This record gives sequence, structure tokens and C-alpha cells, in this order.
Amino acid sequence: MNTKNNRSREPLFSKSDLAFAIIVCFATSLGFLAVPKNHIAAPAGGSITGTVRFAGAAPKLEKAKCISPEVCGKTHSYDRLITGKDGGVEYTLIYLANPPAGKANFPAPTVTQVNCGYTPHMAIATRGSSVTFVNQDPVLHNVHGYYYIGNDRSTAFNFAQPTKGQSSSQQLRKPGMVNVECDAGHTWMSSWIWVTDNPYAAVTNANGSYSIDGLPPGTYTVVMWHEGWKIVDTQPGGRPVFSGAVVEQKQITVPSSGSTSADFELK
Amino acid sequence: MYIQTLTVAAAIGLSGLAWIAHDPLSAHDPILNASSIMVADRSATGNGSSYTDPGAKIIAPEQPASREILARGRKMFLVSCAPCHGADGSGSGPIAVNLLSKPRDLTRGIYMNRSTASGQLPTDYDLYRTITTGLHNTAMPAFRQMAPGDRWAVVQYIKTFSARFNDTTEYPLDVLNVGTEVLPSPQSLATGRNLYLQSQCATCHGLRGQGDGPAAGTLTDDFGNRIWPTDLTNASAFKFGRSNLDIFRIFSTGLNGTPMPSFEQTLSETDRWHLANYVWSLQNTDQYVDGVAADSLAESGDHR
Amino acid sequence: MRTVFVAFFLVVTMGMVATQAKAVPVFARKYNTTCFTCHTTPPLLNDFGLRFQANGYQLPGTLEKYAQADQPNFLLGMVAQPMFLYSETKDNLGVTPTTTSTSFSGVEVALFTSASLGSHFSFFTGLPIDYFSGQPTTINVETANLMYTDALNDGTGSLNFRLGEFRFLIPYQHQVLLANQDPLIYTYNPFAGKSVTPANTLSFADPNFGVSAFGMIPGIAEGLRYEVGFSGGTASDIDLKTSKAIFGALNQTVYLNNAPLRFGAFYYGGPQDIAGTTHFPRSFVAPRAGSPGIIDTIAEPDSLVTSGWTNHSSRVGLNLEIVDPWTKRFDFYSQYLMGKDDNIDSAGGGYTATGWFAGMNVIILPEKFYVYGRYDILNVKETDDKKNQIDVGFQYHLLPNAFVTAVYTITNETLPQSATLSAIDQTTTSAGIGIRFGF
Repeated sequence: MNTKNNRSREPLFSKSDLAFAIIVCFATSLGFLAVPKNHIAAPAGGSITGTVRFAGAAPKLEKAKCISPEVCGKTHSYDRLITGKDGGVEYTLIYLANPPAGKANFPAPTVTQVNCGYTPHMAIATRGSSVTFVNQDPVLHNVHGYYYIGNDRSTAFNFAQPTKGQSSSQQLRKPGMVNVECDAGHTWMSSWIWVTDNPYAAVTNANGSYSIDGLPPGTYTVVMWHEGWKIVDTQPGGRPVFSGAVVEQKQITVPSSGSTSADFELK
Repeated sequence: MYIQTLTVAAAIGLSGLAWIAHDPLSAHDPILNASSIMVADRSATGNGSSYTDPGAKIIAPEQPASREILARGRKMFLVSCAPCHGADGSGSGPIAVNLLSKPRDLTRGIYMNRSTASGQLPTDYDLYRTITTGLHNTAMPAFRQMAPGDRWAVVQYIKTFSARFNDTTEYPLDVLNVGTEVLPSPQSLATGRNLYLQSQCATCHGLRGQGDGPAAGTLTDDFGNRIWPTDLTNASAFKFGRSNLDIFRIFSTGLNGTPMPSFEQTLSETDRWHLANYVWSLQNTDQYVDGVAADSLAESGDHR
Repeated sequence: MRTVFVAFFLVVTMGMVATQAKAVPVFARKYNTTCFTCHTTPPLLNDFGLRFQANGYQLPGTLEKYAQADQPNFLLGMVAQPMFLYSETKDNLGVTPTTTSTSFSGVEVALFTSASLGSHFSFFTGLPIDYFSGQPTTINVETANLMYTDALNDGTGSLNFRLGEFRFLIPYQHQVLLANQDPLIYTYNPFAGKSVTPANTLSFADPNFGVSAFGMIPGIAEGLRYEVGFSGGTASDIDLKTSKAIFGALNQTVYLNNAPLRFGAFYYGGPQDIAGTTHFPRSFVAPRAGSPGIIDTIAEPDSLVTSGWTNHSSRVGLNLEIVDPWTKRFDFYSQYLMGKDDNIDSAGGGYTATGWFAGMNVIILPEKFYVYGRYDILNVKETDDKKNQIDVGFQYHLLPNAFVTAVYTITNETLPQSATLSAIDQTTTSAGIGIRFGF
């Protein structure tokens, strides 16, 4: 307040002050818009959510004899179809056949051998990152990973982990599906790793639900990939041969925000 | 009658001459001074191969092999290799049906006899070595006497059968380290025997190493064929060489395409040497139960 | 009985050492490989083995500059085949007495050695040892020849030369599984049973002395095998004085789904000098008819002296072999051969023989069990001699280099009608089982 000056009182905010404030507000809101979406707490862009369910009662799965009964029981089932309550199918992979640009940033997975099984049964890894395998069983397991080209499979890596607590790691350089098994008499042990360059993929949880977020608006082909559980043949030596993966596709249009659902059913 | 006697004498004389003239080929072909690519760091001789030193990283070839080399490789392949491997490299050549150990399907790019990490392609030299030394007790002969240039040309031609060799995600290839060789000694063999049991090799190979472990009947290879764990006590069953160095190499690289894993991440180099010495002793001594070897093994170089 | 026991003992001992195959024949040792690289089942050659043979007994694509390295190499190999044979011969009219024979026969032991003597030079020798016949042991030279390999120096072995005693590379020579029973047309000898025998026979069953150029040219529709040469017959002198025959063979292989189909032709023929008989007149004593007590000395007339003559011999053959392109386990082969000899006796009479055979080799269990069968026919026009033979058998491997070989044969010969007899069908039935092992 200017008491020296006996002129009439000036307004609290001059015109230039007001102009300056408006400019600042505008600039700030512009800056707001320029900030990358994933720094925003609420997901911007659209998302695809859904559930994979098994219709009907879950089928009885074949069992195999276990050569290490003291660790994992006398028999072990070929646990390729894991269903939860309401028939939700866990460990199903959902990805986009025509994804938008984006860099995958999945945390490097750790796959554990425990109770003569692999946990998690399905994982997603960024191409170029390393997957770590840990053996938590007091029995010999090897980590035998295969790439599939059509029906032909090739060894991608094969490490022995005879001691509890041992771990191995492998850099995954090729995109695609890697199947990991064990040869030490545990013919049911199997897990899968989806190696990808782009971030738009997800694995269903125990309820069979998944969510792929942060998608720009557009129409996408959503692919559901499940390893299959039907036994079609037996290899010499007794290993069952499973029918190929169960794959389904859906065309989904995603708006600029909000989620669209894409549900799949297995039978 | 005397012509016959003369011919007999000449035949025996000539074979005697050839026997006397017997000369290790390695002296004439310096690439093959090592019995396998990975030469142990022996302070005495210090042989090293310039092609793939231990620890090397082999990068993708910058350009494909020249047309002349591929044409030569193809010509020699059709002459020497097609009867088993087929003109198309698929492993079902004219004689393959009569072989129990099938010729390799070269279109898959899966090779057992390597010096690279588990799951990786072989180096050019790995393929060259296999062609040169053959695989013991299989129908793959030792083409030692094919000119080295021809052998290299065949290697380049073989690589064209599988798209994996052109796939940049396969490279770099990690050539494994050998470390310092541990000579077989009673202590090494005893340690090796303990490691054999701790590593549960017996699961597939059996307690006596005879290939009769509990998991032996469940194994299949990448080609869908049934496969049996090697009988470690049978010298004829060792296709890729019987020295402790060759055995060490197999532990470290694993055998691609088979259930035999790599122990590179779970056993130290020294432990792998002890284990290799023990497995070597299964064929070279009879004392495999307690791992104690004959005293004569301790200091001699007689372990190749 | 003792022979049966010996054979049984051999079978059992070979079975007991079956687990560790430490003894391998000389080529397998040399190249660090198994018998089945070259053989379907020894001595039958597979595709690779045919190339090996056509390359002068060296690996195709190689030029052996040095003696083999890497492991100690014993250059001598041995094949032995003790065999037990039963046979019975009879005819349909009961004219010839029925004969049966049981023998522990053909303990054929052969040493062989083959090695390279330096760049381009190598040799091959096979020496059968006649051990069990009751005579003093003799070593014969079956084959012994020097080879100059890869004359074009391009590593493909498309031109090689050889000099010495060898079997010409006509197909199916010693590719037959049997206890060395060659097809009838290979053992055909027009002079059999005649009072004269030429010094040399032109034969496919036995090795001939000669020189030839041979090889396999790759790249001509996947393999043209050839051989051209000169031969003096089976017991020739080096100067080929008594017979000069030329030989030429072409055999083309094509592949259908990686299964071979082979067809070819060969010619073998030339003049064959047959020495005249010089029969010095002799005298003999006989009582004079009508004068008992008087003994005369009578001289033979000179007309028994005959001069020599020349026979022109030719053999022409066509062959066809197919391996089934689906399973590749059935190998069907056949050959047709015509043989002409224009002057068997000094009077100018000639013989024309035609024959053919067809057979099949089957892989039942790879590296383990094989069965085979073959049907042969041989007809000689002028003598009206008809012969046919059927063989069936199997070969079972106890080890890669030791196997049981068995054959059952029925040979039927129709001897033509003569002045005193009508035509006779003579049948010989034989069964043999033996073990062949090689080191």
C-alpha cells in the first residue's frame, strides 16, 4: 500500500498482473498436458480387461509317476489347465497381434522350481532381459528351455540345477514363446515365457482376469494363448503329446480412455 | 605260384612301409594341434588356437560366404555328405534308414559338438572339427584327408541349411572358458566321484555310470526321437572325444538338442575338471566305485 | 557232431562279447567310424560304400596324402567265416544217385590290407587263407592292386587308375549276402566239362588281372560310375599274352526322395587264345587177337595232335536297381546278361548263354537283421542246358562286425535229352548257416 502517494487507491491487481497470471495458468495447464501419461496416477488412454473362463467342469488331468516321491509325491498331474473359482483360468497369455508402438518394460522374471513344478507357470519378459531360474527342491532339476518354430522345437538353453538354492540365468534375445521343461524324470514340469518387445501383454491371474493398460485409441486384435491340455498321443518313453496351443483372437476397439472388455472361453 | 608269393610279399612289405611312415596329421595341419577347440592353459606347451580363443565372442558374419566358396562347398557336400545327410540336408539320405544313430538334420541348426554356451550355435571351427575328427562309433567318418579349404567350404555350405546362422539374435556366440586344467589324480577322481553323486548325475546315468538311472527311460531329443543317457563306462559311446578335456567341454556347453544340460552356471571350473576326470576314469580304470585311481595316472600326461 | 558243437560254441561266444564292440575292421578303424557307414550289411555296399569303392577305397572327397593319424592304426584286417552246410542232390528220374553231404565247410579266412602310400597312391590286397581243407595251409592272392587316385586332382575322385588283380566294378559283384554264392551267370564258364581249358577265364566271379580307369563323376545327375579297362583274365601274365579283353561299364544313379535308382550297362570281351593239345604218341601193349601168348606193341596215331585256336568271347549286361522311395528298406535289383563265345572247340562251335537274376534285400531291423532272396536263370542255347536257382536267407548281427548268415538254396538244372536218356531235372537243395566276423 502506497501511503505516500495521495492519489486515489490503485486496484489490487493491475491489468498486467492479470495478464501475467492468465499466461502463467495457461502455460501450466499446457505443461500438464505435455507430461507423459504414465506419470499420471490414474491410467490415461484405454485399456482392455477381461477374463478367461473354462466352460463347464474342469477336466480331470492325467497324472504321471514321479521319480522323486519324497519331494513331490508318488504322482503328479500334468497341470496345464489351472482353474480357480468360477472357472477362471490362470496363466493364460493375452497379447496384441498388431500392437501400437511402445517399449516393453517388464520386470526380469524369476521362475522357481518348487514341489517339482514351475512357478509362475507363465511369465512375460522383455526381449534382451535375463530370466533367472531358482531350484527350491532338494532334487535334481534341469532348466531346459525350447523355442518353437511351428511344431519343431529347438533347445534355447539347458542348465542343470542339482542343488537346492542353485540358480541360473539366461538372456532372452529372441522374441517368441519359450517353453521350459525338466528332463530329470519330471515329465509334467513345464512353464512358458513370452519374450516380447512391446509392453501390451498380460497374464491372467488366479481369477482368470487380466488387464492391458495405456493403449492409445484404436482397433486391436487381441490374442488369447493357452498352452493346451488335451493329450493326443504318447511319445516313445511315455511322455504325452499335447494338442497344440489353444489360440483365439478378438477384434477390440479401444476408446481414448476407459476400458473395453474382451472375455475368452475355453472348453 | 611265384607271382602269387611275390605279390603277397609286396603287399605285406607295402603295408609295413605305410605303418612306418605313419605320421600324426597334426604336424601337417596346424589347425588341428588341439584335439578340441578349447585348449587348456598349460604352462608347458601353451597351445592356443587363433580361431576361437576361450572367452571369445563370435559376432554375426558381416557378409555371407562368397559364391565360389559356397559352390565348392556344395560340390563336396554332394560327393561326401549327401549319402547320409541327404542332398537337402534333412538327415534322411539314402543310407540313413539303416543307421541307429541318425545323421543330423542340418536344417534345424541344432548341434551337440560345440564350444559355445548352452543353446547357442556352433562356431565355424566346431563344425570344422566335427568334419575332421568324425564322431566315434557313428557313421560320421573322419574326413581328415579332405583338403582344409574344402572342409571350410563345406562348413560354409552347411550353415546355409539353417536360417539360424543368419539370425542376428543368435549372436554373439559365447565361447566358453576352460580355465586351468586339473590333471587326473587320486584326489581329483575322489572329488569327482563326490561331485557325480552330489550333482545327481545318477538320475540319468546311473550310480555306476552305465546309463540306467531312474529317469533314463523318459528322455526324448529335440527331433522327437527317444534318446538314452550315455553309458559312461563304454568307450564306444563317447562320440565327441574321450580326453578329459573333451568331457569337460561337454559339461560346460551341454549337448544342444538333448536332455544333457550345461553345468557351467552351477559348477565351478575346477569342479567341472574334477568331474571330467572322474568320468574319464570310468573308461580308463576299473576303480570307479571309490574313485581311487591307479598311481600311474597321477603325474603322466597320459589322459588324452 | 563235433563240427556242430564248434559252430554252436562260436555263436555263443560271439553273443557273450556283444556289449563292447572294441574290434573293428581296418577301414572302420582308419576312419573312426562304424561298419554301417559303407555297408547295409557286409558285404553289401550302400550308397556311401559304393562311392568309397569307386574312389579307390578312400573316403569320397578326400585325397590321402598321409597315413591316417589320431589313433594307432593296425592296417591289417581279417574276415573269417566258419560255416555249416548241408546239401542234397537228386534227379527226377532216379538216374543219378541221390547224394547228400554235410560239411563244416568254407572256413574262409581272408586277410586284407589297404593303405595310402602317399599323395595319390594307394593299394588294396585281399589274401584268402585256405586253412581247413586238410591240405597244407596256402595263402592265395585274391586281389592285389595298386591305385592312382584322384588323377584330376580336384578332390572328387572322378578319375582313378588301378593295376593288378581286381574285380571289375560291375554292379552286384560281391554285394550278394550269401555264403559267397554268386549268381549263375557270373560263374558261367562255357569250357566247363570240356577237355580243353583256356589258360585264362574271363570271369565276374573271380578277380581278373588288368588295368582300368574308374571313378564316380558327381554332378552328372548325382553320380555316374564308370570303369574302362583291359584284362588278361583270371590267371593272366602281366603281358596279357593269352587273353586280351576290354571292359567298359557305366552305371547311373538318380535319387527319388533320397532313394537311389540305378541303371547301367557293361561290356566285357575279347579274343582268348586256347593252346593246342600236343599229345605225344604213345604206345601200349595188347595181346594179339587169335594168337595167345603173343604181346604186340601198338603205337597211337598222330591225329591226336591238335593245333590251338582263338575264341572270341563277349559278355553284355544291363542292370537296374531300385530302392523303394517310401521306407527305403526294400532294395530290388536285377541284371540281364548275354554271353557269346564263338569258338569253344576247335571245330568252330559257339555258345550263346543268356541269363538274368532278380533279387531283393530287405532291412528289417537297422544294423541288426536283414533278409534277402534272389532268383537266377541261366540258359545255354546250343546245349539246351537250363539252370535256375532260388536263394533265400537272412543275416543277423550279433555285433556290427560279427553276424550269423544263413541261406537256403534250390538249384535246378535240366540236362538235355541225350541218345540214351531223356531230359533230366537235377535238383540240389542246400542249407547253410555260418558266422562271419571281421577284425
